[in-house]
Amino acid sequence: MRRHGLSFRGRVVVLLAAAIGAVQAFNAVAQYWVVRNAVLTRTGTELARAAEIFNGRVQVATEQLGETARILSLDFALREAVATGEHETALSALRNYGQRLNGARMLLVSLDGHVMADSQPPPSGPAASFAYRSLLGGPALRKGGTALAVLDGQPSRLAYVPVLAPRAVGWVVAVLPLGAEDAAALKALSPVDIDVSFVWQSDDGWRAAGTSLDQALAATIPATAAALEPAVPMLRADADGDAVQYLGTFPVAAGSPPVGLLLRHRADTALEAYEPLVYALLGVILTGLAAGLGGGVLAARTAARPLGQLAKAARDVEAGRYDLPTLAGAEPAVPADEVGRAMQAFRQMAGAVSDRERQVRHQAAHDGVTGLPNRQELDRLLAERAGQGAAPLSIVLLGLARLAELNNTLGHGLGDRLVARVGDLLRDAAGPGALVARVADNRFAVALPAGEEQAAEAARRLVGVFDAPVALDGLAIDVQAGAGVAGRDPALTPRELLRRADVALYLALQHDHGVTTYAPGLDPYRPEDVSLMSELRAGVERGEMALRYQPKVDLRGGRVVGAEALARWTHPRHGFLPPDRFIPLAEETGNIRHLTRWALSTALAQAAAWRTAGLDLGVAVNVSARDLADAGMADLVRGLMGDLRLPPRNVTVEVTEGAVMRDPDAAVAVLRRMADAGARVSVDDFGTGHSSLAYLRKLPVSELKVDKSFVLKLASSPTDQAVVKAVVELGHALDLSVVAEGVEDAGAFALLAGMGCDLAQGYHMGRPMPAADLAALAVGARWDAVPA
Amino acid sequence: MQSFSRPALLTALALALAPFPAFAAPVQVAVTDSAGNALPHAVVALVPAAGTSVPAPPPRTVVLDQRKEIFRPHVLVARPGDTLAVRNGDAKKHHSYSFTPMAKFSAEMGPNSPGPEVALPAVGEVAIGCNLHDGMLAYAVVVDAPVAGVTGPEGKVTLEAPAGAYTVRLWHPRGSRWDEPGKLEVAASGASASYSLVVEPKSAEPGAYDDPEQGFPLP
Ligand SMILES: [Cu+2]
Repeated sequence: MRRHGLSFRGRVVVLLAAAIGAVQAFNAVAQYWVVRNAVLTRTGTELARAAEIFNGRVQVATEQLGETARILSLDFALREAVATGEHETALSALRNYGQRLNGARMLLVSLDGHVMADSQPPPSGPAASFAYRSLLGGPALRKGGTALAVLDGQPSRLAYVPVLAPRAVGWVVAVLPLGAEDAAALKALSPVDIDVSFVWQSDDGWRAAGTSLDQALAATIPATAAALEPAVPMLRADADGDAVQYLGTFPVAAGSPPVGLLLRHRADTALEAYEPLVYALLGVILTGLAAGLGGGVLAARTAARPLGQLAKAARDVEAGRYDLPTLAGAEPAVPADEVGRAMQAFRQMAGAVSDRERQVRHQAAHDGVTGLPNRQELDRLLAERAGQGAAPLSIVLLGLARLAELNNTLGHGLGDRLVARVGDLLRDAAGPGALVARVADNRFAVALPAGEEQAAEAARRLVGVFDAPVALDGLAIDVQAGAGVAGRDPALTPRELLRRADVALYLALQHDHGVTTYAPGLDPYRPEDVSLMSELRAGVERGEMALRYQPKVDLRGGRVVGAEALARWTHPRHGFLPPDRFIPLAEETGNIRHLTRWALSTALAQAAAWRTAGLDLGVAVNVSARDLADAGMADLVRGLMGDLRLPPRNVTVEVTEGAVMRDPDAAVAVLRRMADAGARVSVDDFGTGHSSLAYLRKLPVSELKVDKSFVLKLASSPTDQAVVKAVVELGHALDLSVVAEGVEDAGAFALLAGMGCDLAQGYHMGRPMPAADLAALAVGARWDAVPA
Repeated sequence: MQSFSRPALLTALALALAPFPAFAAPVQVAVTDSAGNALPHAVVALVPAAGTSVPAPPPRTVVLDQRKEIFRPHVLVARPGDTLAVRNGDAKKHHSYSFTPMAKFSAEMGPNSPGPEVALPAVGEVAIGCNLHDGMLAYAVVVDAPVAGVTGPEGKVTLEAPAGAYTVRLWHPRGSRWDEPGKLEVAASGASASYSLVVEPKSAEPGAYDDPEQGFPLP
């Protein structure tokens, strides 16, 4: 902004001040020149008048000289001396008279022009004849006359008078050069300071004679005289600065070189009278500059401040603040001038930009066909929602299986309308609180503020919408839809949640399952998991799988009465893998069957081994939802129990609430067959699902396992105590034994014992351990319920 | 004063103009300048040619009076041997002088006083001035001619000369040289002639000595 050092405001101030200053300066200079020219003209006129006066003065002085000379010429002795040819006598008389005539040079000239006597002969010696003899004679014979002429290199006043004896017998010529005294006398005559110089023009230019100037300036006289035109005043610079110069001329005797009067008046002297005017002009300039600066500041205030506001407003727009908070206050001050209009335009522009940005953002955030938020917008909205708190969030991702096919058949126009209609249907079906977005051509995401189970229910409802064909333009279009569900895990980003839902949807569409809930094992995007699934079966066959046994202790007797068998996979490359790394995966991929069969075989064989060893210990094996769909599983249990001669109380199959509820009817059938085969059925993780008692009653269940989430902090949580107590009472009311998982301290153990809970399982008694360890524990260990 | 001076002047004139009245005949001469204007104060002298005999007149005294600050006459003619008598007829002082070597004099004269008598021994022109009044100037022209006179205000003069042949000589203050315009035959009954003379222009100043009205005897 301020790259050039001077702000706009500064430039306005400077420019305005400069402009006004320039105008003032021009004005002042113009006025000065007018004044100066006026002064020159006036001075010139004054000099011309002075020249005239001086000329007259010289004339008068010359005539006085002539008069005096004439009177002297009448001296009887002089007449006698001249008339009688006594030249020495005449000369002495002339010298005497010359002194009386201001030291004039006196000549005695014969009637025929010969110089007979000279009081001050020039160094070159007396001239033979008088240079201006033409003056002598004629009418002048009686009275004589005067003239100005250059004699012997000096402009001089000449007075010539005849010597009458009584007829003219010769001439007395008085010669008085125009000297410095005369110049000074003339200078003194003038009220103004005028320097006077007498000049004459020799064959090789003007020469100076008497002058009132100092020596230095006197040296410039010839050049000045040469530069001047007679009677034309001129401003010239010489050694002493500017001066008005004037060259006047004298009438001279015939044959004499021109004689001039050079007048000089210093220009500054001439301008001196105008000094107040100069100061006034200076004042005007300064005032103008001040006014310029003041005006500049004012102009900057009225022009630059709005511009500054505009610049700030531009930054507002850049930052997306289209309401222009900067200009809000400026409005009343904005005049209806260009700046004001610029602000108006800027405001309109900001509005237009804002609208367009909203539009662009909407287009960027929404799907053009359905008007629903798109994938990015969904991400954004979910991130926004995640930021607001840890409310439960699940995603149902609904996929249209045949969309590409439909598009090909119906054409894209109709296809688009179909998609739009699907969007509408979903929006209606999802209900308030749900967020529906189109995240891909054939995928709609519905974000729900609900847990995974509720989301799965909603997913089934949404998929159910498309059980009936969609009516469009009189066509009934069969749309096949599937849905993937992913529940909220607080550690997950919404993006990851969506991805998981996508994984689930993929499986749902592949396996024609209407709705699939995400499980880590399903996730094909974990490459190691994918390879794990291919290796699981081999791993089972290669004996990489092992079972560990976690003790179940009788809360009344404190003895180990059985164990839950838990699979461990020691992978040749990955090493030890916990069950949750591969069980859910195996469950979803179907590999769980192999695992379950192996586990059943191994665990039951172990139970048989303990039995042989004299230990009456039961084993519990986990059975997944998939297994419940496998009718052969019941047969396996039946076969193994028969082969191993295991009594029914020693074999338990544990199923999760969720697994049962996924397909309750099928599960009930399989479980009933297992029970028929002699196995006990235990409902694992009881309390976490939403199993209804109605189903529970249908199941051939012998045991309830209270989920460890209720037990872990049992000693400190009255609520948990109430829940567990209720479960225990419920179980007993249904003639079921109740097992508490997650017993990690003696307090919980005592509380459970007090509640009448049948069995306890947890780290307090032992972690999952090898079969031999468990056998040792069963023989030697005993836990007493010590009240806390 | 006038009663005294007039008879003396008349006597002098009678002596000058009619030396030999019995033998002489009147000769009328008119002189003009080159423009034809009458030229007063011109000296006309008749020098007898060979064969003409004129007896030399006896020496005389010519009078130069000063009246009203003017020498009267302005020009007078004399012969060598004559005497110039200067006198002052004014009621003021005059200081007449001449630097002409032949007749050099300087004399102050009180009112109505006789002045010096100056001998005119040789031919020449004697310029006489007044040291007190620069405008005063007179000429005494000494010529060796038996018959001579000065033109009057109309530029004319009548001379008395015996019949015979003469050389005419003319002189004027504004010429200051002798001219000989020619010969003149004078019959027994006399003669008349007119001549023109080249002279300097006269001074423009009124009352100057060469004013034609000036320099003549007052009535
Ligand atoms: Cu006098």
